[in-house]
Amino acid sequence: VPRSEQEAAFEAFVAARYRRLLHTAYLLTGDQGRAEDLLQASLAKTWSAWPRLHQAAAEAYVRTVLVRTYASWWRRRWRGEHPVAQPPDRAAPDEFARLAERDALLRALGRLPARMRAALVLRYFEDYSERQIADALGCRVGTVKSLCSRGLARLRGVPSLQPEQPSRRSP
Amino acid sequence: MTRRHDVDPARLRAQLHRLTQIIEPAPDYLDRLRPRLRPARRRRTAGAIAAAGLAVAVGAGAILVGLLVGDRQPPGEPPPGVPRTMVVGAVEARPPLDRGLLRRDPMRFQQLMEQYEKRRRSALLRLDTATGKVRSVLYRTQGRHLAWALRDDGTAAVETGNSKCAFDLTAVAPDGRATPLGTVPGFEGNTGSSIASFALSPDGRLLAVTGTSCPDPRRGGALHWRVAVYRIGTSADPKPLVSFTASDLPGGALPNPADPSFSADGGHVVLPYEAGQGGFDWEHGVSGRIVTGFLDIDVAHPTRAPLRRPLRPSGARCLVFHNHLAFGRDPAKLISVEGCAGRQHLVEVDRGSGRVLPLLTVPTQPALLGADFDAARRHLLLQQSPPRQGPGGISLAAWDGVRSPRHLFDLGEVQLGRVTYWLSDPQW
Repeated sequence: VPRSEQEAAFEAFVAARYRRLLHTAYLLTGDQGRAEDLLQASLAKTWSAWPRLHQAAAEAYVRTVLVRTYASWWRRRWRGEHPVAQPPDRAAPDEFARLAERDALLRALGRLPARMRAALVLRYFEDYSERQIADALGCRVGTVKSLCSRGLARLRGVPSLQPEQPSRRSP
Repeated sequence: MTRRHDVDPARLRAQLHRLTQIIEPAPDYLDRLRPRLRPARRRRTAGAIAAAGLAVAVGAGAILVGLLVGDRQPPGEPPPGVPRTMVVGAVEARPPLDRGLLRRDPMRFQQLMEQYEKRRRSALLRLDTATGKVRSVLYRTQGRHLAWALRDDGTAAVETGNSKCAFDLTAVAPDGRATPLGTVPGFEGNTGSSIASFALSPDGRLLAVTGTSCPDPRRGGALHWRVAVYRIGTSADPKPLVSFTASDLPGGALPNPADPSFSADGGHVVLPYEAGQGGFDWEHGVSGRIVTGFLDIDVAHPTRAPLRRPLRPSGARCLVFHNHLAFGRDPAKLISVEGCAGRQHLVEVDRGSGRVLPLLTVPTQPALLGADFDAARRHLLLQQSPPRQGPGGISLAAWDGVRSPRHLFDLGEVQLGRVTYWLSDPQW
């Protein structure tokens, strides 16, 4: 296939999928700038493999690259780079209360280890099966189950994720 | 499952989707992606050749290609490590006249405060915005540089550098009552003109500072630009909420960050930056490889990799001026001034998308030095270059978003007793 056609096909794929992939990247990184960087790096890697890829499998391939690149970046550079000694909402709880509430989930996700976070995002945002998550993360299904279970447990402090309490009836 | 974790998976699923609803791709994502694709393929080809035992030749070739590519980079292209530019609105288009940005209330400017300086004396004055007359003297100091920032209620924070690589912070109430707020460490203070620049959040609880870090003997005494955000209560918290230097930023030693500004909701600190080599003149615009843009620090989620938004395509040969940025009531929009060849623009920048829309295009004289909203955030005050030569002075105009800017006053010096004070940067 001529290179120009490959490029056109790749750009069409990117144009069609970019927004959705960006959302996944955003949930992984919690920051739009980083999400853009992560996605662009992942797409550049995908482009290297593009001639060998079936288009139907391309999106799954990008997602796999995305979560693996995210995990490797997180190990190399991002861990510990938040120079915040204390949660920032302590500075001005009145003013940031609304913001803190809105972003409570994002912050809770940010405290999870990278693979655990990726497993939750793939499971509950991408609706991946445990088998698909295992393929993407390069681990066993049992590990995925454990990651998701422990991940959910660690999100239980987020008020908006609490299940509604059934109303008590008087006897 | 729900009972075990106390987390409702259906709620988690819904919340994750809700979180991403506002996330839109940068308009130029394809333009930024394309250059990354070519090297990716090139590396793959090089890898195959290397596998054939030609590693040395490939290495030499790669160096040569790198040199050639570097040499052929057009002068307008951003330097390596600098993010590529965002899509920009057409500057030549007629400025939108009424975009809901500004309100057309009668102008009732409340305050304009000025710092004057001569013979190492400084004074913080409150001026009448309409006439330029001195209403009151809020603060005086001698032998120290002085910088200041305003809170929305009119309280000023004054910083005076000390000789211990720190500056002392003082709150000055509108009636002139001064309250010490302690010392903020880690910035070059009273040594020459390098006093730190700072801003207060509208509620006065956060302080953003940019300036020169203290010399670090472990790094050969080198100085670096440093950016920090501190909490302020009854005193300044010496432990910063955010702290990084230019070299901490991804992409290497990038910007010279300029004056910080808080968004109206206090959630973001934005700093213009300038990267690359080159110059600027009114006839030709930017020469060389200067890229200007903004660092955007989310104070709720501070990170050492704040979003960088290049403001203009390098081909436009425009430069962001580092004087005041203006935040209106909408925290997503900020007003900035940029100079281009033969003209200058007041522009509105959308922080989320990076889109730049021109609001006002004017000739190069008088130069627009900065813009900010009045205290009520209803009208824009434009600082212009003074009409006459001298050691200082300002020319102030107001713009209601519809008509031409209205000139308010020119001011060069103020006589207080026996001391003549010259003007430096205003804020309001």
